[in-house]
Amino acid sequence: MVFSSIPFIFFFLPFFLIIYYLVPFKVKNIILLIFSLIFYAWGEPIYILLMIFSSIVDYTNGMLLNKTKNKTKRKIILIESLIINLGLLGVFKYSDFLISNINSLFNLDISLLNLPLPIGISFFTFQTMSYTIDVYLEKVKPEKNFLNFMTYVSMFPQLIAGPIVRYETISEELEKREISLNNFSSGMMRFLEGLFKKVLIANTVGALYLEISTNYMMYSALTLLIGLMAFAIQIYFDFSGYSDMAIGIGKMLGFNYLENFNYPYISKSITEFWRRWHISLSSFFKDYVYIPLGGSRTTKFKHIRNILIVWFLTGLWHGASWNFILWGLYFGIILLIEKFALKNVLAKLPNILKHIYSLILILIGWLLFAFEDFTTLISYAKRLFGFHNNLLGNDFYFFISNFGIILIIGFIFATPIGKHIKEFMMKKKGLNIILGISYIGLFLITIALLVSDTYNPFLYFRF
Amino acid sequence: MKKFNNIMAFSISFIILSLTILFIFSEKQDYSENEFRYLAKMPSFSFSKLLNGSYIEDIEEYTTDQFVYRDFWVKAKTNIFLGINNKLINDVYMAKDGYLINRFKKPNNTAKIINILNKFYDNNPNIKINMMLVPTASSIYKDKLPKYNINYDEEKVIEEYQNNLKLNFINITDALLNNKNKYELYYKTDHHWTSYGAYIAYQSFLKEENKEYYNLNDFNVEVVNKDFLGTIYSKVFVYQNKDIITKISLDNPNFIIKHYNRTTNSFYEEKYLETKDKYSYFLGNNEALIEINNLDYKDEDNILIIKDSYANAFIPLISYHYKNIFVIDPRFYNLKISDFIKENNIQNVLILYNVGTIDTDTGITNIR
Repeated sequence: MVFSSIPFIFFFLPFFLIIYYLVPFKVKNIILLIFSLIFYAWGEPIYILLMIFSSIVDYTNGMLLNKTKNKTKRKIILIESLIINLGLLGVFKYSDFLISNINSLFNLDISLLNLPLPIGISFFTFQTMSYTIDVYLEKVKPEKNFLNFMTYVSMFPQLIAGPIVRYETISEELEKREISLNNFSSGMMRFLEGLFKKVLIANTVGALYLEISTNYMMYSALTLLIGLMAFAIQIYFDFSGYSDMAIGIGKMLGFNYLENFNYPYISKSITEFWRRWHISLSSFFKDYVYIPLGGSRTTKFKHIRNILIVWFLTGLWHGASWNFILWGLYFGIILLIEKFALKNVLAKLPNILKHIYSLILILIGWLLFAFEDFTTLISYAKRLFGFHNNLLGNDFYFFISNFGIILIIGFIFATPIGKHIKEFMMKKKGLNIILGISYIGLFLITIALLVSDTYNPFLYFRF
Repeated sequence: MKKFNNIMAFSISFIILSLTILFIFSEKQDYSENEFRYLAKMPSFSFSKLLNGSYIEDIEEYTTDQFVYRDFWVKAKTNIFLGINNKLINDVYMAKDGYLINRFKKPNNTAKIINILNKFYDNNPNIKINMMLVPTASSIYKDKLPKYNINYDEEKVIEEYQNNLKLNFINITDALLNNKNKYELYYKTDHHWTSYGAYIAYQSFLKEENKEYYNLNDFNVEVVNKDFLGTIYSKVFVYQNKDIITKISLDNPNFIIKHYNRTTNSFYEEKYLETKDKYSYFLGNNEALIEINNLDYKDEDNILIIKDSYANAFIPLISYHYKNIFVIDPRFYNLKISDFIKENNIQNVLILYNVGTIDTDTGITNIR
């Protein structure tokens, strides 16, 4: 089930919240667990066993680590957790990718497994694995209550599309948390904002991107540029909207998740972009791969190696396809260049040029990300630069006149301007009434779009 | 800020809960006349459906289909999109003068269809085979489309058929264009042509056949309905004008029309004027095979028309000029049409399709 759907908003969420608020605190975690399992089973009735298995494994690991001080034993437990979690991920997410590469490399014909990707596997394996690592490093105390641990892993707000919540972030809140009207209300507002981002902007701009990318052979170069920008807007609003909804629901339940996005498109460098985009993922790789490998406090050669490994993995995490790996390495190399060569040059540039520099590189990145198939990628890129088509045609005016307004709205809300306007209006009497009415209006529009639209896929659903 | 949030959370919760309660107690609909389809029903539960995920899919479809005030929400969506200047909604152009015009997309199957039709031609030597590929409003009323649009060129597609087909192709684009301001050749809210559009095609076809044809003022031209909202309307739920259905006919016709399980003597099925599907006034619903006998006609010439629904408005006119008219809709007719031609000793075949849907027509492969 996705958050931006009629059954979730009108049935699952209200029904769950009413029960959650009615029961005494002791039972709340169990209710949350039960509803989370229903939520997961809603889309993947069988793979739910996989998530339960992963939870049992790492809960047991935590308990075992608690019992022994023996260094070798502890290491074995750690390695066992890594093997099991990465093994699950490997089998279910990467096996066909591996097989097809082996096939084409050695001219073999091993048949593919064609396993469907379990929803959220990239997220929950990372969560349970990080827990065992943290217990091993003695950063957190192991969870003794299995139900609490299972609740942490399966919690439906962040279950299928993140953010990747670490155990340390919510371990205390699993025992004790503030469930109040104020938290409920601000959580609900956050949920609404995420819902608007997803339904009003990501879905509509997504339809634009879909049109241009399917028929790109017919369109002029500037239209393809609009297509690429539409993709950039769609993926940001889709994913950050989802994170907002997750954080909002978390808050309604009394949990405080960390932020996952911080206006990435206003970055002045690629280094900054990756501090603002999918923060829970970059910090995961930083803490669990980059730093254990030695980070930057090592020889220059190893430092460069570490960065490339992290970005290879970041790319690979996004999907079992070479274009994602290329996309990751592309950013890895830019980060290296920024670090070792461009740092001083960039610092001297006026801000506007820094923004342009960053946005162009980000857009080229999305080009690599958007097309899994290299032939299409190259063909689209050639036309984007006007090699086989007109620079400008009627189609461009069509897309601008039909989608210009929604694109501009997207541009504006990709920056903090919207937030500033909202805070300004909220403080002023009269204006706050207008603000309130617009929220209700936007909510009604969202319902209209959800009821009439069948086009409602989550981009990050299958990662 | 806290107070603002609390008031908002209260209002939104109120809206959600009221709609949920309304949904639970609302009377569920079986069929949506506006959308020409059955709405999803509450699925029956079974473990196998639960495990393969289809139970859940059905529930999601059910809640969306049966959501309260569904038509209102869909109409609201169209108006919101119009509000941000989006004039192509659900592949429908909001065109000038109240015209709703389906988007014409680049076809994918042209070569394949040409191949099928050429084979059909080869399999039926010594038989006269004509084809009319009727343009739609998106080329004839091109000037009514929004100034900037992303329509594919219909005339180019029609020419591609014309240049590659072995059979005799009758291009009626010019004839329609010459009359586009004189008559309303297409409905404003439906994807079909009007009786006037069909009349222009009738004229062109009989000229090609070297037959005499009636002028429009030889006919009785009679408005039979003024409340028609067609298929394109159903995609967007907004309209400026309802459509007018016109009957063009001669006095005292003498026809026998043999449908699948009944026989009538009129082409015009009055009962459909009371339903949403008013275009079916012409010859009723699409059927595999209809046989028409013209009792007043002296000579012995027969014709077989292989067609989609565009022909339904055309057949009543053409029938005055033949003894026996056989009508096959290959979407429902699964036997070999070449055999039918031999068995009934047919010498004259007309294939009539509209270019807007021929590419995705499910019956084309049955033309053999």
